[in-house]
Amino acid sequence: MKECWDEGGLRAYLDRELPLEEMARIAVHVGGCAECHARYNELAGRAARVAALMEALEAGPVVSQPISLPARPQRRWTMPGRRIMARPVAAAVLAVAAAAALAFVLLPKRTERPKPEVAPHVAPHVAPERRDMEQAVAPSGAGPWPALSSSPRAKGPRRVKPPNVQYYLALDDEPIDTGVVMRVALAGTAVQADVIFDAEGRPRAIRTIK
Amino acid sequence: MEIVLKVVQPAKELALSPAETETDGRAPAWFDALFREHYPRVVAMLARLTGDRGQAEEIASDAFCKLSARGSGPEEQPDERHTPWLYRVATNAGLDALRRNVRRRRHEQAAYVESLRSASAVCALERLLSEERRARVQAALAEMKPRDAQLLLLRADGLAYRELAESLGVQASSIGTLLARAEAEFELKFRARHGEGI
Repeated sequence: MKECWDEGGLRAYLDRELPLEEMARIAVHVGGCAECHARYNELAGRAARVAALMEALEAGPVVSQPISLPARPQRRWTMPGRRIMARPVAAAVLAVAAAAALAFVLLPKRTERPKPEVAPHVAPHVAPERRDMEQAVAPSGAGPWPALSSSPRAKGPRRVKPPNVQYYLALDDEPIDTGVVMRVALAGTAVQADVIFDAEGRPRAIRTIK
Repeated sequence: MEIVLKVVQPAKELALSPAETETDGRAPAWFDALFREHYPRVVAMLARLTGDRGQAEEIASDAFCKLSARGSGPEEQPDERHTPWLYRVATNAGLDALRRNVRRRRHEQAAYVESLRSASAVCALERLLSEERRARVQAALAEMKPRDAQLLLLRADGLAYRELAESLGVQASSIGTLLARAEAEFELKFRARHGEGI
């Protein structure tokens, strides 16, 4: 039977870096030798402590560790058109898409408007009472768009013009706190729209430009 | 025009493949093989030692440059002494950098502590303790013999005894003894600086 093993042999035994036969011999010896068993335990404990400390070196380098700065305050826009959008490309794409969809809905109505030259032929035959009645109804249609009268008589000199207000169409139900207005154009057409983007760059409301 | 093309040909200037080992002043094949095998290990060891991967890559590159200049010529065969020489040079340079970094680290830690104030209390405490432990370990390593520090660092990187022996230029059978002594020395240095609470 081999005599007590030196610490090099025990250390290699601890790391299982010895041939199998030698590993078996050391295991038998350490099991029966109190001195080697104590030395083995001492080596194992020290190796574990050193390994734990060496692991601290890979916890995160001091120099190359990114220093986390405080979160940047969220940008808010209170002066329309004075700031650059946070995500201009995505916002512009969304705005153009929304403008295109809106224009697709609205453009046919505008083309169905009565031609101005039709008015002189019909207007003389309208009774005065009928004209008054239409004038009384007209303000109720003074919404975001001018009233699209089916009768060319509204083109007369007494026609009530709707207020020159173009309302925005909200794209969702959330209230708009602050935002920036960006005018966009549908590529290849003359359709333009104003889009309100909120502080996060999301389009919140839109209106077409007449 | 033909001459100019030959001069600026990048495939010849930058190639590290063994197939292109013409005697144009480029690195020989043995250097390429050694670089491919040991550069990641050297960088990992130095990054663990210095805590700065960029600096580790710089030191490793310098060591390889010195090794390249040390070779007598492109026809030279690989030398068994090259690997331990490379690790020894890299470890010494890393330890020197570690000692030089003390002043710079003070400023960086001041900025780091400032950044911790913005983090949550638990997270900040953990990071602070982690950095303190890292600094203590580095200080203890800086006081050790370069070979012992190198042995601990490479062992912590998971190298086997055979690889450790190759990097140190010793017999694999002596690694156990060297490792046990290095660990004992490290523990001694660490306790001498920071008390029994290892």
